[in-house]
Amino acid sequence: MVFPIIVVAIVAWIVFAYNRLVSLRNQVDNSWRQIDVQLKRRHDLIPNLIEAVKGYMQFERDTLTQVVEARAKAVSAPDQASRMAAESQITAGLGKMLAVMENYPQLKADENVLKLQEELTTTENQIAFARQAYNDVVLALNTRIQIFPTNLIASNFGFKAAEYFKGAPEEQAVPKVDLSMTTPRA
Amino acid sequence: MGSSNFRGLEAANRRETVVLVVAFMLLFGALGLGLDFAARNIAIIDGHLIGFPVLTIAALVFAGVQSIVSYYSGASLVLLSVHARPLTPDTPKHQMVLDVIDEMATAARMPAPKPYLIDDLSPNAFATGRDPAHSVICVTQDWSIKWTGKSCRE
Repeated sequence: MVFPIIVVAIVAWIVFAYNRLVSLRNQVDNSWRQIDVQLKRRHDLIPNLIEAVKGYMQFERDTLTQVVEARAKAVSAPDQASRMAAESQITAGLGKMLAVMENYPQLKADENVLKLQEELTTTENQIAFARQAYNDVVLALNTRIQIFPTNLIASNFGFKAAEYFKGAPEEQAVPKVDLSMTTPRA
Repeated sequence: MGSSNFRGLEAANRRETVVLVVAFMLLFGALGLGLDFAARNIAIIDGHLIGFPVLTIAALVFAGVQSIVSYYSGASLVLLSVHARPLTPDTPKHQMVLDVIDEMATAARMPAPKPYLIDDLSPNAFATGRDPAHSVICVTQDWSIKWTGKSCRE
């Protein structure tokens, strides 16, 4: 009498644990899709912004090239891990570019540049928030795959840990602050 | 600590809504019962309730309909009362406000509320709705003009 009850209880737990893992995996996929929409939007904005500012920012060729190259890497990335790394480099490059644009007041008079800048700012913010949500769900999935006793069924059913969306090393570098008095650009 | 975040507050609001609706219906039920006794529609004779409580039932039906209308149409009625109109991206400032709303919704991991605009020159904003999927946010024209993208996001 007791044995069938134990068997039923174990089967019920396996079903519950499996369904929970499937639910978490689907949440990770959905969260990534939310980021993907914003990343594609950013890919489309970058060429327009570069075209709009390159005439003004002739001396910032390195900064602009960094963004263009990172975008090219992201678009042609063969897998999610390399795509994430390239996208993080775009974020770092764009952050630097937007900061440098502040040195060119004539850009602020260009309505097209302002519009693109606002679109890019909101896209970057959306990516940042979506990234947080994605990493939270990845944490939940990875934890559930690793803890006992769920780890016993996770590997048998083919559940694998997901990759976190990490920032580029440039994002984590301490910014250099130059307090020396320099002549501002004209 | 749990009730100090907005999800805890939302859950508390839902519980209070249920309590409010139940109290509202009990009040109207009691009012109807009192009127039925006064109009002698019902009476207690030898410990038995005699008669048909027509006014009690009418009061409960009225309270129920009122509660349902308030619950499902409350946000629309509020917007009508302030003459709000849908906020569209017809100017860069309006586009910026719409962008900030979308960003905050993504950060909060909930659906974006529908944006509305009031033609008022005092800076103000409010949000209403029965749940995140049916929420609205309303800003005044003055608020949407004066605030910059940076201050909105802060």
